[in-house]
Amino acid sequence: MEIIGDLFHLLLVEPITNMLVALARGFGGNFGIAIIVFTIVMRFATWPLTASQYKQSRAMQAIQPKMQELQKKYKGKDPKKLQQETMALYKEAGVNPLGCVLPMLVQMPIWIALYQVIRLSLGETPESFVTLSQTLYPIGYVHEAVPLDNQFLIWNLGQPDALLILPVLVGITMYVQQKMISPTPQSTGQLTQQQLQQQQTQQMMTWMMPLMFAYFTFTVPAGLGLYWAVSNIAGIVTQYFYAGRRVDWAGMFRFGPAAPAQQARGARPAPSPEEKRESSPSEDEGSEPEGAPPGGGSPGVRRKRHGRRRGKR
Amino acid sequence: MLAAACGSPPGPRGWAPAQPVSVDSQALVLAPHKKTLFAVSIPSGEVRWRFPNQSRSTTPLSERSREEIRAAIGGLSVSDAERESLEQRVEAATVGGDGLKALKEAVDASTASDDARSSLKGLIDDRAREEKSAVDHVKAMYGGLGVSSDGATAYVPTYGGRVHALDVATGRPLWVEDLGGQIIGGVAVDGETLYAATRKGDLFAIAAATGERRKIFHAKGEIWAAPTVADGQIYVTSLDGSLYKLDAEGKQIWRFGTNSGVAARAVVSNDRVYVGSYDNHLYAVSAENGTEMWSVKAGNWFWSEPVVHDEVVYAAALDGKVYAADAETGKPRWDQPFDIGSPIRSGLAVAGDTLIVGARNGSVYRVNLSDGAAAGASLQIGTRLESDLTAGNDGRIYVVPRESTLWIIDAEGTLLAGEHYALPD
Repeated sequence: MEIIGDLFHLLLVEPITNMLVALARGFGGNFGIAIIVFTIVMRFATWPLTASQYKQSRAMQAIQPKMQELQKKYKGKDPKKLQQETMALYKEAGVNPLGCVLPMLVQMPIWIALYQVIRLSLGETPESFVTLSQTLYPIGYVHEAVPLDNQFLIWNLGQPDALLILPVLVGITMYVQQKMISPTPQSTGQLTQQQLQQQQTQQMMTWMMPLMFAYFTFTVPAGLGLYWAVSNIAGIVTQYFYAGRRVDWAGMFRFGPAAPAQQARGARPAPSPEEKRESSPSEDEGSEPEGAPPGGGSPGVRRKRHGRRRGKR
Repeated sequence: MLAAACGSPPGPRGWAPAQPVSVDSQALVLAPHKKTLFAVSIPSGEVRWRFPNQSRSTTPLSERSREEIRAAIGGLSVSDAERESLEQRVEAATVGGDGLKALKEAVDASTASDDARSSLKGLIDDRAREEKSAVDHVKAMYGGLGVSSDGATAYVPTYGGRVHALDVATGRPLWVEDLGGQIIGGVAVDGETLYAATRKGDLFAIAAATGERRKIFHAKGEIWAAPTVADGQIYVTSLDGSLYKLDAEGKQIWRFGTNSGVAARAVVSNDRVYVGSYDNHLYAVSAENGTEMWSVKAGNWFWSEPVVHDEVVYAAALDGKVYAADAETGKPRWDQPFDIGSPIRSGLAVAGDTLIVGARNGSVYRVNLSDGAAAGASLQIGTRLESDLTAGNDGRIYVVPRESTLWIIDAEGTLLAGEHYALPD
């Protein structure tokens, strides 16, 4: 365990500390700007993973009709066959079920490291400064940058945000970001019990994650909350452009499953058997322009549906 | 999961140095450790008193507050016997718990008027609340204690932002003063005046007898070191990168700027001021006009206070090395710095013709002052050591490392011999 801790310190905490301290010095000792710049750099560095997440999410949505069909066909009769067919479907569509969570998993060590870096760099206790002295690379530019300015706008970056501005901001931005890549809840009448449960779980996660992160932000130094807030905002901006700048902002705050009429207008309804026969998942994905919302119609992103028009004919 | 991975941040632990004193010809060591100051009798190792009490609400009310309450009792229209009874309760009053309850019950039972009783109880509650808060805020101790010239009173700075004056013989609190900011540096005693500074950059002059304080200076950055008083003038360092020279009223005479924060205390000797900085330099500055005379560069920050002995300046850095420089010219006095390989945060101490050096890894070394060579084997304390080493008048070195132990090192032998006393939790 100690080796893992040492490696974690060597490979993550030390480089991030030095990078942030150097950035802070470059911005006149302002640690807040350093965190913002660092966040944007991290967003660029993890862009391949994020793009993959968007693609995976979209592909996953695209195969939902076929998934439903398989569930109807094998549910309660042959679970093993259902699993095999599902995996075959994933393979055919090029979907990796872990693809959606991979960017988050990759970022978690960075969050943990950043938490340690902020505590270390801002000298919460005198002891942490002694440790900081051993963490900085022997370069005058970083050594002389200490102490850093822990104030950024209204926040002391080394202390939790007692004003609750950052927790609220993190919660809202994370919710918006999640809604941008999540499917519209379907009308409950169209769903089997299992699908209904899945949908409810998904909706709950859309709420729970932002709430959890809002709570974390309330308990950790404001610097980490700033990182999350900026990271979420960067994610929203990225997704906005990736999706072709068409976002139904108001739709994000309509709660509950979409009404059938609403689905007919803005979201893609569950495909008819004819549609399913007509378009394979790969065709579906390939037929949509780059940046199309995930699957059958994101609540946030609306665009013309090639397959849907085809289905109407 | 994230919260679990991050864990709760470690709280401040403190690294205040031990202070040997003498009470009625008996040796006593004031050993600040974590949230408590212990008075340890030497050589028996018996803990004579502790402050605050283990159950904090049983800590006695300070003499200043008791005096104020006694004065209020003196103004009551009650019989002499009743007044005497109330005063006895005041003598045993504590900041909370039974001692406070008994005093308030005695006031309630007195024959004074309703208004007078209510007013007195309000005063008692106010003082008890303030002092309970003060003892609850003894979270850690970093700065060195101040001791009055007669050795009777100790002034204890705490990370909770208070200075407590204690009777050295009994540990009873005399007064407590809130400076309104965490205190990392220690207290400097100059006759009847104390000087202490806070993390908010405020420097206070405090009356040693009463605790009455005046803010006399504000630095742009946090102040992490005790002020140094020499010839009636005050030298203060700050994380804003400055060394300030002030007069006794806090008026700035000059300012010397370094390229980074200064957390080390300045030392004044022969019209020169020596101070180490986070810019990895030890500076010698003219005390008269604040100009730089020379500097020595290390591989990491200087944090601890340098030592000047026989016109040589000895300073330890967080690169794990001890440097010796000619006090006048700054030229190296050793062929090479003494290299321990572990960061040195602790201040050095001179014992005889050797320099005692404590490294963060818990190793204590004896180094020849003349050539910087190790004098014998090192002593392994076995726990993290960040507190300053204190040289006593008896030639011994007093150390309080992180673990709950007071070490007393005899520096006279060829090998360091350590005796240690366990401090209670």
